Amino acid sequence: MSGERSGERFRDVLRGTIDGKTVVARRGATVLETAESVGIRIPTLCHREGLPPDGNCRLCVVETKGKLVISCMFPVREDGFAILTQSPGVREARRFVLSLMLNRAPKAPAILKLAGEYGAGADPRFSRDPDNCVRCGRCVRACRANRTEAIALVGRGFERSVSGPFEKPPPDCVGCLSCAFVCPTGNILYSERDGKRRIWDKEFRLVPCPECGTPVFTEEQIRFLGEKASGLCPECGRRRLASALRNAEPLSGGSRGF
Amino acid sequence: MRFEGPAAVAARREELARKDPDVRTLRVCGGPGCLASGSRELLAALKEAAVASGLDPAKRRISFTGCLGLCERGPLLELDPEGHFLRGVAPSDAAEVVGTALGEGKLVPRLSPNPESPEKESLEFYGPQKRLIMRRFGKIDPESFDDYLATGGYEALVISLFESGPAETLRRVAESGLRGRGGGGFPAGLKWKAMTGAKGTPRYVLANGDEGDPGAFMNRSLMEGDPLAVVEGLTIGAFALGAERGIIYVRNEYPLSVARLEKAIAGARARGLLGENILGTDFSFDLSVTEGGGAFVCGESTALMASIEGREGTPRVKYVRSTEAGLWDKPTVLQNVETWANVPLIAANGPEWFKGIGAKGNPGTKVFSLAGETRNTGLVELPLGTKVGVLVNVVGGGVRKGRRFKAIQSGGPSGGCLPESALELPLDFDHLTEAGAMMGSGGIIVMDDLSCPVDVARYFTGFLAEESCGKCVPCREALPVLREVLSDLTRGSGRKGDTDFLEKQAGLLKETALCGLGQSAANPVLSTIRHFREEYLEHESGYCRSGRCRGLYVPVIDPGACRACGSCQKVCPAGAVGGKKKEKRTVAAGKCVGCGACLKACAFFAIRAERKEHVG
Amino acid sequence: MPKTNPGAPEAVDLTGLRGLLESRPPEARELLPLLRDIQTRYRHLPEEAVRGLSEYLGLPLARVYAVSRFYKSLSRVPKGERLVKVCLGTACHLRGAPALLEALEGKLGLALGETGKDGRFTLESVNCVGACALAPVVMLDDEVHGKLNDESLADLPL
Repeated sequence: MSGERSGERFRDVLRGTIDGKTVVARRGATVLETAESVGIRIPTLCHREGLPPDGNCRLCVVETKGKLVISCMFPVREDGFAILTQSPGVREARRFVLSLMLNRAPKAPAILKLAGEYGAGADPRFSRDPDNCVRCGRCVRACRANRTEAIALVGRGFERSVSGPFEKPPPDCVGCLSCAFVCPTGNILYSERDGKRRIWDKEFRLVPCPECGTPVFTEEQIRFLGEKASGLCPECGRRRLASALRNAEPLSGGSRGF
Repeated sequence: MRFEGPAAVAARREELARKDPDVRTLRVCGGPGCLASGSRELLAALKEAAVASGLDPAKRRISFTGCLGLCERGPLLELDPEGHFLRGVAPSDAAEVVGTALGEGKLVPRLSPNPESPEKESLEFYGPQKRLIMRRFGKIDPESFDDYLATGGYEALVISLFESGPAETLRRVAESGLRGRGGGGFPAGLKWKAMTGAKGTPRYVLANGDEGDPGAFMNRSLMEGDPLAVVEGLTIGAFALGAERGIIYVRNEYPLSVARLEKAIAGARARGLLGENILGTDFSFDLSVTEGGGAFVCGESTALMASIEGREGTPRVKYVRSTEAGLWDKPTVLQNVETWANVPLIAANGPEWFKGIGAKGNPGTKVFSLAGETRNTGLVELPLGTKVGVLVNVVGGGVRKGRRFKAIQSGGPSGGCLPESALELPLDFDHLTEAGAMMGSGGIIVMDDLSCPVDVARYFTGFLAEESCGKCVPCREALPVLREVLSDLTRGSGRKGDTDFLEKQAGLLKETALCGLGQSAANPVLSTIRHFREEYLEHESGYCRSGRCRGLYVPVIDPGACRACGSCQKVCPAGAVGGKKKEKRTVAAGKCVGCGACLKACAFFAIRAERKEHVG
Repeated sequence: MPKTNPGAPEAVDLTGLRGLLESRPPEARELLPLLRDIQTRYRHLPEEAVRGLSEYLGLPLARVYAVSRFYKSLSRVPKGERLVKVCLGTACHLRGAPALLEALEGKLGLALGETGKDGRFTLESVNCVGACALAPVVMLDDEVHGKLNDESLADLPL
């Protein structure tokens, strides 16, 4: 919520350090933004530009005042802030959450890469039925950001999983693929064949552009977008879609399953 | 019915006080324990008996009252004004109780635990107690508005509205040092002050009655025993904080709490003590009750608010305080119902009075539910800072059946287990936290030498894994891991190094989980390892000295201590105990199924849980 | 890929659903209270009723469904006429609730969480009913039975 709050429109400039380096930050900016602005990379997973932050994966932890906080949501609020992004405690915490995620998604390239960086490994004693989903909810947040809100994280605890209502093909899904684009483990599969797209066990007819014939939108999507989509050529449409999804480029070959 | 000003309240209170001094009331405990022991049936039988004996119902009254505390001996009764305390009263006693006690004001000696001195305060269970939050339990019918008014109810609101004003009311609460009764002990004054600086309307005051800890029922007893105290506390808070709406969030398993609170709210509204222009002032405030849906995590503040807003009860990252952006993103003060019930006391009597009770930095009293292996169990209110030993050995009367004290578990799933040295510890927020436990909402479970700390950790971790909302990785993924290792240890399939592994994982869980409940979910594991590491290591090698974990020990009868009573033989379901009448008994290790019944049955402590390898 | 599970629609008489929904204003805050009302009326949450609720409140079906699956008091399958709840609170755990649960499972022929085929009983657990002094306890609907052991268990009206 913090990023959205209007009370933080202050223009104040704060000075502090990240990993010992002197840094200037805007009051209320997140630690992650601030670090990125000076080229310090903090690993993230559930975070994604353009989607509201959720803070559930805990991977982007950093240390301040001897405590761990998550950089994607923790706001810089005072002069003299001092943040460590690679302290032993931080690295150990990241190793911990990565090991836990590996129990769920032992083969996801994005997670394996980070696990290698932090020396994390799956424990065969605890990994059972890995389904390649780490429950980060990026798909759900993307769907909500599009105002379709067709899927949700359902159930609680270890059993929580992404699903349409009643574990059935989600009636509100318009086949826009936002969920698949933002999935960090490439777990949301879709296919396109013969002018049709399949995702979430639902089939959509693709509408070809009258100009060049490229199928981009589904019928449902056009109906959902209404006026906004009409009269656009596919390339414009693609651009329009891209801006609607804000930075929705495919990740780690997200379009498997053709 | 509406009170248009303070004078009308005072007049009505006087009128109630002037009523016939000849009235006598039999108060039947309606606390959760006594209800379970049949106090509802008892109440009906007493009323029937009263009708049969032709007593004047205006002068000889019978009603339910709040929890009298000594749940184990229920159903309990108290006779007003005599103060006679009766226990274990059955419907078959109704005629005698009505005739002798209600009719004539005399004691029924066989139903009194102490006929020499028939008030309950003479019992060791009540001796060290200071009943402030529970002061009306036993004195009023919780459904009677007049009873509340007659016992000083709404004096505090009148003082706040017409003498103190908002600033002084806030000062009183802040300077009293009152700390949140729901768990962490956060100073109420800091929250209140933070809210006054926050912008935005409407502003909310919320009461947390979502008591989800297994082994805790003090919030329930308060909501059912003195609901108007919570309502008045919230009203005073709203006045000081400029809030116009309040919500009491109640656990879904507490339908009676909901009914009592709703009745209390309706009663206050009808009298102009809630709603528009309270007592003729320009202060307006209204209150409603929301029921939970059955989720432990909704006790967490942000999850509770999400639940009220019609969303899943998942916590959110709290880098912005609820006092700035709480319910519907508006300024909100959320406190436990017991914290709110302290507010009228402080608003009326001032901070100095409050600080005179309890310990330095921990003023006031706290209600505890005492359960487990003490002789007396039930609901207890003690000044903060009272030694744990007083609770266990005086109030609780020591461990049952003469067994040895092993540990207390304090604070439920967020708390921890403390060993014998804890008996010297003052019961307050800081000392418990320092020792690796937590006040939590005030559940205290006493464990004897037959209770196993590893089993207790497994129990709580299993509970927490089940109740985890599943939002953040550490809580969702690590709790099942901890549970699995703990289950292995208690089943004899533990591995060398499991204790260190658990300690490490739990430590990381505590540091990385998203919400307070997730962070404290590590406490049961961390505290038991901290204080009972030796027993953990024994479990790694397949031994449970407490005789609790099946298959991890063999009972061995010490011939020197055995009195040949045969009680172990009687309870053994497997026929594993051998020996004839008047002979000392022995256990055939091969036949033993490891149920532990003999260990519990032996009154002479002659049976030990031995390592299997040590038994021939 | 998360699985979906197209199931057959259930046959539940939903006359009166409209009135039940309209007993509360169509606001997001009424979501949980209305789900509870539906649960009380039908002993579970029929799919059609959840759909109707989503329409009535103007909230996305996925959100309404997720909320309906979050809370323990809400159930997808019909519950039995009588609820048998074994308290698994701390005091009850220490005083033998696990063995009591096992015995009840045997007696009813149901595992924890199950409803019998005849629809008479559902066996559930509860975390604490505030009757710790009488541990271990079992609730039959709203009635608490305490200090249970093998003998008194046999006397339970089941």
